[in-house]
Amino acid sequence: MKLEYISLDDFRQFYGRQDSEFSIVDDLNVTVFHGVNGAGKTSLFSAINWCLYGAGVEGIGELVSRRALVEAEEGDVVTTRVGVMFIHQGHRYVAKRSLSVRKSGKRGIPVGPPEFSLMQIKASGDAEERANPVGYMNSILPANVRPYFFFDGEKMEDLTRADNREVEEAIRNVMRLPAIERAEEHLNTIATEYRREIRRQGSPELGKLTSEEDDLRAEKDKAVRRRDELKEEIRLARQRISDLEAKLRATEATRSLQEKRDRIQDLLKQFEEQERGKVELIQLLANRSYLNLLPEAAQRALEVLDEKRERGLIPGDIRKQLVEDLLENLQCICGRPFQLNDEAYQKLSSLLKRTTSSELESEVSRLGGNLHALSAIASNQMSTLVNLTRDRAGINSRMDQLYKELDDIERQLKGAPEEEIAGLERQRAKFQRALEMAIAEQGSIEAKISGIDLEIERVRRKKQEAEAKEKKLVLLTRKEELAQKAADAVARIKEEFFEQTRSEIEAATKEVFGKLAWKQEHFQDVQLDQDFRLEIIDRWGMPARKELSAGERQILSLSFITAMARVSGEVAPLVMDTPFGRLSGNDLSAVAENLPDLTSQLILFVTDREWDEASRTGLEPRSGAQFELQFDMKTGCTTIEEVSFGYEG
Amino acid sequence: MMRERLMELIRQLDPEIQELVAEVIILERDHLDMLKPRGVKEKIRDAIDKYAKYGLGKDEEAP
Repeated sequence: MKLEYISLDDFRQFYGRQDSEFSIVDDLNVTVFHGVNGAGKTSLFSAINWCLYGAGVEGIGELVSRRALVEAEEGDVVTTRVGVMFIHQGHRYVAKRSLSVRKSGKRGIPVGPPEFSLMQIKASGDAEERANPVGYMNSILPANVRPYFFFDGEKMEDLTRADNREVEEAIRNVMRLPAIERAEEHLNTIATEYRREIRRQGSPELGKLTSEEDDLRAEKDKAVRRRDELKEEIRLARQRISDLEAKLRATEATRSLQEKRDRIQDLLKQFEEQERGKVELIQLLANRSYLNLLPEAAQRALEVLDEKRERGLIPGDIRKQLVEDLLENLQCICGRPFQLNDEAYQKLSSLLKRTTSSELESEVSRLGGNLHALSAIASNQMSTLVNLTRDRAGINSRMDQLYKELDDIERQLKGAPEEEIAGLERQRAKFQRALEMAIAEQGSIEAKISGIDLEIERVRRKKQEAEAKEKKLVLLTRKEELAQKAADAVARIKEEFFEQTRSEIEAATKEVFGKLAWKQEHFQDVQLDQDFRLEIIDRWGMPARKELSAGERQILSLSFITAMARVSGEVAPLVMDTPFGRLSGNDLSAVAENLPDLTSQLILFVTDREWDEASRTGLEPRSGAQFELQFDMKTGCTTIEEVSFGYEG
Repeated sequence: MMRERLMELIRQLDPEIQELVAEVIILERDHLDMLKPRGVKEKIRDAIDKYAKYGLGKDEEAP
């Protein structure tokens, strides 16, 4: 979607017809509207939102130009209209929204709801009206995704607050996750309906198994709901803890203790990570624990071999090949001949049982060597295992010590003479315990869900056997099977899709932030964790979001939004009101220079103060159109004037 | 990009439900966009019926 043109008729301070064309050229994809405060930038920004989505305006009765209303006669109908022309996937559309009011005293009373139409303009010049304009507009860019493409720059930094709900919601909406969630929900409902029908029509055995499956699914639903509740409880508890810790950090008397706690918590995370690595290795070695039995067994086997060698049993005292040669040649070693099956032949034959073949001798030698090698490997493994266990014990001991230090900080803060500080810490401790309890319960719920899944699988196998006997239910059972399989598959897809998306948005946010923030060397990493918290890691590997300036928070939010737009694949313009209000100096230069590359079309509504040397230098080479909003003090109206800015590349 | 990723996940499903899952997600998306605002469950039932009959050989042509 690219916006081409906007026209306004008697919309707020835009009296009569005002219009402008947006730049849609790839290399010159920036359109700038600038003006002093109150000139009408936000009204124009609102006009786009209102026209396309009926959103972004307050006080619908105030939309009609006051001047137009004043000039009308009492009882006259005055209409305001906004039209936006845009291109989407090779087609041109005109969206129009209008509102009519009847003049009553100084006010305008709406004569009906706003009217919205969407026309597709054909290459032939004909226009075709879309029968369902709201639905069609939503399919181009959904209404709940709009706020991430059309937004107020000054409110944007909200995304970086510790409350991660908005970030999660943003991702869910942009990725159209609600459609997947509803698919899962509806498929489950339909599968349950089919099972009810099977119970009604099928044999008692099939009915019993179907009921059993229903019960298990109900139990699973309950567990999944509880898991989701716990997830929310955990999120809220973390949020409250973070808020309380921020207060303790901001209080002079407790700052050093809270900062010490921050450091300890970071260290604990690092140690936990290290411990996880050690435990994985220990488990790997433990899975080969049979090798631990080897040194003793190998030693015993070697002793047996040595003992047999000493006794001359290995190698055998008579070579097998020698006896076989004598028997074949029918001649004794002393040269005396003998006959087949005579006494000498019989004696020599009986000796064969005591002989040793050369292959066996070689095998015995090889076995001895292998036993020595295995014994050495096992000993090494034992020694590695001992070292790993010792390292882990060291980490555990260090963590114990850190937990004691945390307890000590908690005790000191709870015992603070200032009641406010003690109260904050008591609340923090309460939420901390609630958090730990919720995390523990979450783990057991996950295990329970896995157990139920196995049980459902068992019942379904039995059910399939029973269904095979009932031909009249073939189609119904097939439909139930398909619906349930599809529901389970959608549930899996949903999780995987969301996690993949989170991970890609994290990588893209990091990349964009690297371009937009001038302190790239100071900020080493950007993280979007499993709980959807945006975090910045500084050069020392420490979380730094809390220390970001307002401008840096805005850049982080902007990075996240553009990353999300890129990952989603939605082609839509970035339309920003007051985009640079919190930026200055190097931050402003970096954003102005790089922002045009991060979107297909950029439309900015900037104050004169924002439109300074730094932003002009960055943006003018990419600007295809510039407009000035000129407010006339005499009429109280604004006109849109195109500006010739003379940049020639 | 997002659609391709979702389609890739759908392609990894059991072949007998791939098309059904894709169809149901598109139906839900159109419903949420209000492009097809009514009767999404009925449309899903129809889709399941179509694929079930095809799987049992009751319809000659693939859905």
